[in-house]
Amino acid sequence: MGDVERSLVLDPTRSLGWDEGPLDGLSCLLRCVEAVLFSQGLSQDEVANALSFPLDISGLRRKPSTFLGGHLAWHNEVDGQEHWKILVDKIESGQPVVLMPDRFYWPGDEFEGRRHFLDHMVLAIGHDGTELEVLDTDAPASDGFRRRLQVTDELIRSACRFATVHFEPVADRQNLLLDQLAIPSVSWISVDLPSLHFFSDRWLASGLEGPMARAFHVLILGEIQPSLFLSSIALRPLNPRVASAMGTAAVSARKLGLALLATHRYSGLDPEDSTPYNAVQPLMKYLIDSLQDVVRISKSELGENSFIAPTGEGPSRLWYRVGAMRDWCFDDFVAPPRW
Amino acid sequence: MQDEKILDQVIKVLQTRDSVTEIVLSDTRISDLGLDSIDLVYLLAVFERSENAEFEDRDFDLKEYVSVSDLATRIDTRIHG
Repeated sequence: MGDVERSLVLDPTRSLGWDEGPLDGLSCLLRCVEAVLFSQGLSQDEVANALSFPLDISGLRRKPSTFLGGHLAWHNEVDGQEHWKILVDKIESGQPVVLMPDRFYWPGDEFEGRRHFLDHMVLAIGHDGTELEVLDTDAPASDGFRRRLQVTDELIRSACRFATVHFEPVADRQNLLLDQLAIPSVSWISVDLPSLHFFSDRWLASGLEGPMARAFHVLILGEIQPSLFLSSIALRPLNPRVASAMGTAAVSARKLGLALLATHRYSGLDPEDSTPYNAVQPLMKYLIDSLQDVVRISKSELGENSFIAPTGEGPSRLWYRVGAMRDWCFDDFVAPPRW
Repeated sequence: MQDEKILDQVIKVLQTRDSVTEIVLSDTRISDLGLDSIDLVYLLAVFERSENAEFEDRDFDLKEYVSVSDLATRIDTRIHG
């Protein structure tokens, strides 16, 4: 398989926080980017700094897919065959590509032929015309988290969203971490807390139906946990107490995210049934409490006046954001009907 | 002595797992059901909510249990002490 970067691996022993599983600390997306950064020679601390990003629960302030050390450039189509040649050209030239496949067409997937879900990412690292080689956190560890997939019409169609990885070394570390990570994170969390309470109350009162619960797990495990976890590493030299509070909140987020993931397995076939998710709703309290601690401890340690005062977007903002994520990741209209 | 009600509840929850197609019994091996640590998070959350149980970190380690009965016993212990 030509032009494969052999140093690209998913290695739990080197990865940040990968203890019980790949979703400890980072998301499947960030595991892919982490592998790219390790292959470029970055150390663990450098990777943590580069991948860090302030936590924006509202989704209105941080530019999507931007990090302290770089960004991802996305190519999105409804059907992967629209840009398949671009994708394989990049892989064959040695550029790894983060791929978010449409699981309806993804071979062997539990939703293959059933649902157009787009919530998992792999790192495409090799292509020879007949096979695509990917690193996949869901692949068996005994296979080195690698899969070699036959290139079929379905596989090509599945490749509807992909991203290239663009990072530079993070310079001026201390000021950057304070000004672009700690200050905005804590400022934004403090004004977004009401929207977490609103979400929690509405979930308690009305339940959470399947696609909404799936979108919420994407937000929790894709953004909230990773931001807090990476900040807990990056900010440790700057202020251990703030870093520790971030780490505790990351654990609360992981527990809620994994509980949501688990509940999908027990939710049956009716996507409108909201009752299974009631069991894990109380975990929202731990996340909210731990985020309140992040704000309280940070203001005590760094000074109340250090923080900016952004405008809140109203308490329903998170609910509507998760609804939009549901439409982007779990709507059957994301791909055209099979012909 | 294990509370049969807890065992029945554990079996009932496991029976709703999407990949579980066989009949779940008290001596069914956890490994035969294909459960992982993520399943445990959900299962224990169910009892945290319904029975006000408080679980310890080691309760979330799948290696602690061989059979469904082991799991029910641990849950029973956390509920009734």
